Amino acid sequence: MGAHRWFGVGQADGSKAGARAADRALLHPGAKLMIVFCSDGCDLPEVLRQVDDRSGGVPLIGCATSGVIGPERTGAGSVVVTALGGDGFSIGTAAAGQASRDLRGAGARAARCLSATEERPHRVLVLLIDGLAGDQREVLRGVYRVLGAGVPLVGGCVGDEVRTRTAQLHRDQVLTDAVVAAGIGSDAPLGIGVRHGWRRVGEPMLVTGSGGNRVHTLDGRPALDVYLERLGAEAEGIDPEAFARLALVHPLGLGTRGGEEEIRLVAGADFDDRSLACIAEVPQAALAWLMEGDADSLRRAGSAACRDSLEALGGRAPLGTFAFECIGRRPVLGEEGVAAEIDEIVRCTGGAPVAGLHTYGEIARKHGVTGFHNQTLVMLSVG
Amino acid sequence: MTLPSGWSAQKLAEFLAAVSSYATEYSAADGAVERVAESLDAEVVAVVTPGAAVAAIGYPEGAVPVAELVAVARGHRRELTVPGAGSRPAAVVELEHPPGARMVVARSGPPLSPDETGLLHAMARVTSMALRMIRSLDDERALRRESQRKSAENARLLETLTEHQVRLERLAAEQAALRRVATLVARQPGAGHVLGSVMEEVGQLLGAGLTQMLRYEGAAAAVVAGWAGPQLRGPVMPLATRVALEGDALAGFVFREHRATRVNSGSLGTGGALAEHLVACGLRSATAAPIDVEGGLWGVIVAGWPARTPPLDAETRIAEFAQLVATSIANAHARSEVVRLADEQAALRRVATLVAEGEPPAAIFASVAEEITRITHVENGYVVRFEPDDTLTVVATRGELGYPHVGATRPLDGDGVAARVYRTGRPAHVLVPGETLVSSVGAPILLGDRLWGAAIGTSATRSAADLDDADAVHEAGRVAEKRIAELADLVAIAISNADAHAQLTTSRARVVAAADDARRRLERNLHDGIQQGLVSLALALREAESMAPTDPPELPVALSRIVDGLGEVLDELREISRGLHPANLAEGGLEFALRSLARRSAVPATLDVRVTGRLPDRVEVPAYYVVSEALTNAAKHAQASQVDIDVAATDGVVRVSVRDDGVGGADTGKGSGLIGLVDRVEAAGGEITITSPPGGGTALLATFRLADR
Repeated sequence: MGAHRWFGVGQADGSKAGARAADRALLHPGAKLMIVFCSDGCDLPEVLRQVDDRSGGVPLIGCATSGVIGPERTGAGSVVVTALGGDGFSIGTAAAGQASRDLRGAGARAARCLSATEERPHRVLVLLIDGLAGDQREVLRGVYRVLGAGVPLVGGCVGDEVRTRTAQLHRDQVLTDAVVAAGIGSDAPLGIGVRHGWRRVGEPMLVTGSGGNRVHTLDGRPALDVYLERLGAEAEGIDPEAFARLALVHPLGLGTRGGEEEIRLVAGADFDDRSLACIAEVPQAALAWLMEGDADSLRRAGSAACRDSLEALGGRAPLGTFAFECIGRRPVLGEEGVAAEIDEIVRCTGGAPVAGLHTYGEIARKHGVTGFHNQTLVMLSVG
Repeated sequence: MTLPSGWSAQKLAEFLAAVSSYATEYSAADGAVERVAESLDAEVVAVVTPGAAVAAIGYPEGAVPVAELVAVARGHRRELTVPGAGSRPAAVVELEHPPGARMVVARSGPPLSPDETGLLHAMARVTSMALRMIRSLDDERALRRESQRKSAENARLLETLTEHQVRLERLAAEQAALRRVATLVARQPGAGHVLGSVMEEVGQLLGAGLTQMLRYEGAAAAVVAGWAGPQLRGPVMPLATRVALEGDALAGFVFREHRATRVNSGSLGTGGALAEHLVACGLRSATAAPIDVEGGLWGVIVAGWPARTPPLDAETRIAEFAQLVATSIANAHARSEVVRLADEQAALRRVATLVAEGEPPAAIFASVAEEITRITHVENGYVVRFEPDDTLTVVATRGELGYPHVGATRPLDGDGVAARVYRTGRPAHVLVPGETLVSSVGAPILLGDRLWGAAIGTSATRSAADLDDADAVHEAGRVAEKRIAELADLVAIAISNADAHAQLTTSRARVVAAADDARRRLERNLHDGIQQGLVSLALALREAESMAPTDPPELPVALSRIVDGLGEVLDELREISRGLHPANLAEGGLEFALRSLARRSAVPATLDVRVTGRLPDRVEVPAYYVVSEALTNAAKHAQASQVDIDVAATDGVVRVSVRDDGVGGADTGKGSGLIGLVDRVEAAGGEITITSPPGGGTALLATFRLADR
């Protein structure tokens, strides 16, 4: 299948973590793209300098994250570096700053990195977006306007534990309020898998009143009342902590045609105006399902997403995979559950290296127009 | 899956809210396709008009397959290529607006469900409404913008008009000033007066404190005019004041640079004599503008201003004015030149006409003297004839002096203008010195090589002050000399013509008289000789007849017939001798002779003669021949049935008129005898006209002056 391609992942922590991780990722000469995920607490400029030094200035995108996924599974203070190389890839990268001022424009600017690359039969755009910039779907609309339906999208939103400032990386720059992107053209297929592990409960509800991330009414009634009713919980007397425990395993699922629902984690409720607060926007007139799940169902989504992503590869073992795992899945899965999920993924790929991070919103568009998810695992397999 | 009730309505409401929030038709169409795409999760949605895709989503930037979309929209194709998903069935919905537009939808996965199709139609309807509404708003906005634009345009036009009005008023003021100057120029007052007036107009028009005009003369400029405003602290610089150009910031600058300049209050004090004078007059700034006359730098207009800086466009306006004045003066000069030439030509034509009409020399002389007085600066005109005894005789005089009189004689000695012409045979110009100065100009009247006399003009008496300009006096004399010489030539022609005419008349008269003498001698010879002989012979025959025997009986009859025949021969002879010279004219006068002619006329003739007493012989003889020849012509050629003869002597002129009612067409050139009449009448100093139109009879009119010229 065409020219030589390679995919290397390295993980390191401690001093010179950037350099060491890069050394492990750079399996062969001719690297074309470096993707760097840094745990919180890393000296980002230093990491960039080290990776750049090792790669010799190969185009780079990346971000800081509250949790990396790599060969060492997870690790605080870790740096995971992925390197793609060989003649079978064509790569373009871009960064669009000040994204919150013009989300669509930022999406469009980032997406244009692909138009300059050499034409290949298979393409994908990998996006890393500041999770605090605003409505992520606006960014995706901007991307769609530039690329159309022909280019699948994967990626995630970047956050951190305190959610005040995020960091995106492009070449030697540490950015915030930015959209960074890598357009990958490949001679071999690129497969995407999207799974969340949640199940629908009952008939869909119509979002009759919403604004931004807040859902005011469902089926014409206060959203909190409808939600609790569907859960079979007493509306009266439920305290916020109890509500949070319930909500963690009962997100809303927005219907999409023939694919996984776009999950919206219910992050809280306003007991006065009876509204629900979600992570990410819930559009008015959308159909929303009450979802349910547990650690098992969610963990199984890992291997399912992996299988889905491998499907497009036509039975060929992948060179490697990327995993964009929602941070919201961690409380359900637990630390061990997460590790087990990753083990399943690695097994599923037949031992191909995996690199990933915990995200605050996942991007996956294979078909259709939208592609913004919550509490979901998105996998990209590079064939 | 059961869709919740109200799903479609809710979607539609969202769609309507979103689409109608767009400001322009294009952005609304673009937003609509995006919303439709998301609502139906369809990768490709487009609004397609008959020839173009108005809006489309799902394609890479700049790569919308318009032709494919149009084909699908028109129903030529049922499937549409969805990027990344291949050919898919397309849903096509008509839009009510824009005209002919359709919405095309295609997606990967399953075709649209009935619910989705219903929603699509509803959204298409909403899209049409929204687009039409935005178009209406756009049109209205465009109208409002156009209206605002026109208002602004009108305001701008009004401003321009006002500005033009101001400029027109300014121009009108300048033109009025210019007209006043030009009028002044046309009236030909002294040059100083004109330039002074120009200075005043410029000063008043522009609100200057002081204006001075200087003329460049070598290394200096001389003041030729000036005007001081009413509020000025000092006088204008005196005329003829000379200002050195070296180092001068006003007149000197213009002289060196040949362009206008201005000096502000800061440097006026050190700008040279002119500037110092302006400062002394209390003025604070100055301008200087060149005066170009016929392409050369002639002078400069310096203006002093009360303000610290001159008005913004002062130099330009003065420069324009100076140019207009220069042009005006040049034009006025050219115009007066043309008028002068026309006057000269008219004078010459008047005299020449008199000459051509054969007016007597005395009338020509008078006319020439008159024309001489019309020459500029000439008051009196004379024509004098030089006599063999070195004197002159005045033959015409005109003018205020009226002296000397016609007929006066003067000796041709001394140094007068006539004496100079007499001595040199050339034109002369003499200035007669004295308390009042008279200048005289004379030109010779030459008949071929012979100096006949002179035409002379003398100027008005002028004070010495008027003659300070010797050049001007000399120039005026030169002009007068030329014109008098031309008039003198005409006098010479008139005299020559008159002489030639007199000679011709004398010559003709001599010829006619000689012929008449010969005829008279022949008539006398006939009368005294042959006629008397025949009468004697006839008397002898009558005597012989009475004595003759009766036998043979034929003899007395034969004799009687001879006597009768002899009588007829005598009658014929008498008739011939009368034709040769009308003896009865000499004996009985014109009327008697004409009655005899009329009585004997072959064509019936009436005669009306209104003459008292005898006329001079030189008139009676040709008058008789006029009637005689006319009657002969009427009988021989004119086929006339009636002839009217009319002779009258009134106001010293004898008019002889003979008219017949014949065929006309008589030609004096056809040897008809009429040619002889012309010679005979003109030899007698008379005139004859023959009018003989074909079919209109023949009329002869001969006139004779009774007094000899």
